[in-house]
Amino acid sequence: MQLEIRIDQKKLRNAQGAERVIFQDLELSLPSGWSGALLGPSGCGKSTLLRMVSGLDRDFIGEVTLPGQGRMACAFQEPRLLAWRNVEQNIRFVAPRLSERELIELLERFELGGHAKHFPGELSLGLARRVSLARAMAVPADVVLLDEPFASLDDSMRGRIRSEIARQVQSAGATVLLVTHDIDDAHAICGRVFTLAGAPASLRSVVDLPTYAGNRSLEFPSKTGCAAPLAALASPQRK
Amino acid sequence: MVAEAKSGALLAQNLITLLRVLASFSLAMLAGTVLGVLMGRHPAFDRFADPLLVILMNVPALVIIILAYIWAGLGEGAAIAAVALNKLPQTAVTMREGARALDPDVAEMAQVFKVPLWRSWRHCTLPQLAPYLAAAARSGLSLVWKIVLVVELLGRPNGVGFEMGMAFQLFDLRLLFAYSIPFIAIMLALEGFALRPLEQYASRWRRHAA
Repeated sequence: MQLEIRIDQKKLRNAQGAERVIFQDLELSLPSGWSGALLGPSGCGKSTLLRMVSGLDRDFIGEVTLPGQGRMACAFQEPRLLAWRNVEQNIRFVAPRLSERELIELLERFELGGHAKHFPGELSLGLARRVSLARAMAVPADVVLLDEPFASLDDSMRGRIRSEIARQVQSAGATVLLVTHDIDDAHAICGRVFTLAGAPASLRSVVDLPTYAGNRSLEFPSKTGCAAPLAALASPQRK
Repeated sequence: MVAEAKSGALLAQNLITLLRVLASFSLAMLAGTVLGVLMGRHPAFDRFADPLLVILMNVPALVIIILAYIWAGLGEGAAIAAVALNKLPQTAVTMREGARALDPDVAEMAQVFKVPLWRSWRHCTLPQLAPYLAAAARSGLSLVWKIVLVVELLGRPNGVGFEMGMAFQLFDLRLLFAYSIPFIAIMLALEGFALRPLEQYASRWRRHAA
């Protein structure tokens, strides 16, 4: 079964009670085990769409079908860590069956080895975000949702964490939906790129990255092949 | 005081009062916590229960005690219920604030990861409520033990409050101090060695907050 999203209509209500339609007749699908990126301008509803897929927002007309058993992992836009639990306990909160060895390996992969006993209040935003990503990778999930997960990471760390996530989700066979503004993020992790634009937002384009066919290869395509068309897609207003 | 202690009466009366304090305190904390959390999480229930809470909060303790004794008789149940009813509104108000302050973001996180309800309560909700619970307990104990003494004075045949009533009738200041000073010392010890450390423990993660 694949990830299928069909939104006939989704409205948002502002504080004054005024409603506006943010999605109308939006349909997108992603084969099981693939990674897809949602690109689009700020405020077009990418994060709202992720909330609808996660089941946190059910106030819409349409249907979301999840692959596998629908087990889910998520790295939110904000780290959303338990401030009263240390890093290790935060990960164990969602993955209580993780063995000590697996936990240590996970922390090492996200370069968090020295921070296992630190509380979230003692971490920088970048570190907290890495904990949030490690937490998302700690659970066996059929669907992994990533909402701008690499913000506040420096370039070199961003590259390493991106590769780590690409490696993990591919080996786990999880279906990934990534919300990002950054074409490089989409390029590094995803096999399919959805571009949203307009108000109400609709699907502007769907691009499959050729070297990612089946999304099972660990060979990343060269940026020169895809970055230019993706850049054009991400800025539809300039077209 | 030495004579009362030697006879064993001092220890026995303090123990009786202490048990009444613990029973009514536990009852008030339990009922007040459930009520407060429900009010904090469900606005419709809050709108319904809030006027009742305000009334209960403003009725003098003495009125509640006398009504409890008249309606339920001069029994142990009435005494404990009267004390618990006096403390309940304060606990409920504190816990309602705690429930309102629960972070919805972490609740959503637990929901997405399908964390079982009990686990989510234990690691997500209770730690957030703990500082409020500890604050309610600290302020509650000081209120409860004072009201227990009044309840004993008015309608119980034993306990420190009853003995203080006897001392008042006999104008016996030595007897009054013999019973009041050890009991105050016990309550201060409970506050200092149990509740205050408990509150510090419950709020320890806030020291790490950025």
